[in-house]
Amino acid sequence: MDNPKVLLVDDEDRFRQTLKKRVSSREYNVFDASNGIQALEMIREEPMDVVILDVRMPGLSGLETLTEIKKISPETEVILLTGHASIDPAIEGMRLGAFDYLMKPCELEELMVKIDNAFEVKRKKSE
Amino acid sequence: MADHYQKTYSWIRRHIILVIFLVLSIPFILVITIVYFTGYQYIKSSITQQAGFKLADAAIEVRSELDAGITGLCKTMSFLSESETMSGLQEEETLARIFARLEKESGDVFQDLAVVATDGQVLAGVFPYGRVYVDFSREEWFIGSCEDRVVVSDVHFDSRNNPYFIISVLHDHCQEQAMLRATVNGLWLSAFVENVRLGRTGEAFLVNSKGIAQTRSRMGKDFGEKLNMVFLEPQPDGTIRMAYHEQGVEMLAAITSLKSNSNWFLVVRQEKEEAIEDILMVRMVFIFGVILGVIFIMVIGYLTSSMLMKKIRQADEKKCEIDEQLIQSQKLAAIGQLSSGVAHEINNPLAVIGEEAGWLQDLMKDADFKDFKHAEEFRDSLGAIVDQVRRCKEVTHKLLSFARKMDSNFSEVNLKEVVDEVVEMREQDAFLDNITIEKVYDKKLPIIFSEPYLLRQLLLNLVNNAVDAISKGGKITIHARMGPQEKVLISVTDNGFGIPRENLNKIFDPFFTTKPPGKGTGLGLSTCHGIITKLGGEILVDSEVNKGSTFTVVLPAKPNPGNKTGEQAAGVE
Repeated sequence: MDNPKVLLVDDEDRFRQTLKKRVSSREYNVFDASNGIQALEMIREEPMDVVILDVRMPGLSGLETLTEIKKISPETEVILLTGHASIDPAIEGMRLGAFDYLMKPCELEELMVKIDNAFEVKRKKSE
Repeated sequence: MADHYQKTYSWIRRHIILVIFLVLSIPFILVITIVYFTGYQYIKSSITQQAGFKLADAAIEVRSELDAGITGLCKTMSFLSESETMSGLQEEETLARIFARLEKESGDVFQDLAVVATDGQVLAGVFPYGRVYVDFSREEWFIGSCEDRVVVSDVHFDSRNNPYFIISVLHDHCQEQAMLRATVNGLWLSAFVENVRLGRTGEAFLVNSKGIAQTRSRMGKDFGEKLNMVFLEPQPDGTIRMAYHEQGVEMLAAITSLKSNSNWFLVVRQEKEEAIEDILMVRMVFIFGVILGVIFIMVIGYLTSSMLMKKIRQADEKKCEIDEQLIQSQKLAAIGQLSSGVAHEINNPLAVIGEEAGWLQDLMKDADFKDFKHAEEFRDSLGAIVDQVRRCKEVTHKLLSFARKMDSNFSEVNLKEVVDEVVEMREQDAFLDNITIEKVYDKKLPIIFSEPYLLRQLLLNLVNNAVDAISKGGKITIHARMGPQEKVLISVTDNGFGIPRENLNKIFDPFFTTKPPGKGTGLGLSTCHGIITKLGGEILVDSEVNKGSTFTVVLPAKPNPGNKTGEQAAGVE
């Protein structure tokens, strides 16, 4: 159970699946959900270390999902992916307790660094 | 700029001029009318009165001369008749002697002399002019002579048309009554008045109560001429002053009756126009005043309308300028919205492409692919895909940041520091291209209240453009100074190739670029425009082809109370 558990939440199937394959190949335990509701159910079943959350999704939006995640599992760190023209949602997300944010499309390496950082922070908090 | 308003301008101008003329003219006409009907008419009537007095004076003078002359004749005759007896008078010899004395005393005045009985029969007479009389009983003077002692008759004509009048004196000696009758030359009488001179048109003549001229006059009246005269009540000095028309010419006249013959009236008259010549001066002053007033109104009207037109034109030009700026910002806002929408839509597929390519690259690292014949080609191709995705990403991110309501954090900014930072960033590259960057700061440069990050980006964009505008070996001057009205001016001047006139209004449009494809996004200056709008300032361009360009940023030195960014910043914390 050393491998960090990462949950990918994005409505864009192809993006999510490919990203999952790439992150998984780097020795992470990756789960994926195509919308907020599904993501929340998965977190209830099994707590995640890091959630990568798209801000713009149909149904439950990224920020709403973020609020719910923090309710269910406060120690889970969330990294927001935003393609938004405005940086405001990202800042709003940070205020709601997100760990960090990234602009889509992002470099995988950048994302990996952030995941590692988030995992580190989470582990320190748990100790 | 506002040439298409020319029609409206001339319309407005006409109306302004009309209104000013009306507003000024109505009181002016009112004043002129009042002055004309009171002042002018008063002066005219007083001048007319003066002229009337003058004529009356002349009339009185001439009358006294006439009276003296006629009375003199009468007295002479009375004296002669009194000094002789009735029977003596009836002798032709005595009468001839008396006539000779009369002629001697009064010259050629007396023409004949007769003694007439009370029944009108001629008792004796001296008639050198060949007039022969037998009976006077029906003649007017005779009828008058029966009542008065001395009678002076109207002027009559003899058979040769010579004018004469008669003086008869009653001889009254001890119940023996007879009349001494003398004929007097009409020309003698006329001589009194013919020589009266009053200006150019003034004249004097005698007329009897029936309006028949008794003398000639300077202006062509002749004996016996019938005149249309109306006599009015006399004035206290015995004269009548009147004005009347003769053959369409207004005349001013003074009329007085003679004391020696109450049936005769002396008329002294003059054309009114000449008599009141003095009014001409007054009239000229009046007309001059009117002309001056009209000129004054015209000048005032012209000046006022010009001034108003200038103000209107200025206001319109200002409005046009603001309109243009508004259109520019609206255009930019619309383009920004569109481009951010497009960028956002492209971002997702771009992310998918990037991830797919990345996944393939990950797979290529596996040992299985070592034997793959085209492994190298694959890697190269994937690398190109990833690079191009990165390039696309840069464009979309720039587009997004261009349209983004950037979170701004206003604070106190030292302009000098910002400029120094920006110049430092580009100095190295510039040095390689042999470009010198000169910084000029005003001594009293204030600490301004602005957004340091945006300001830096703004200046950096401008400096980048300046560097790009210079091929090699040029100079860039950054001049920061205090402007009027609490504004700070930062101008970036280069001596590069300049901006053609036709491009000047397009340079702030997104995607407008003159750089080769792949070298410039065409977003630099539109971002600058967005930033400057956000900072509450404005940007000015001055450029000349092959001479260089100057971009001047005008920034408020103090915080703008209408700026909402302060609230946003507070909300984040």
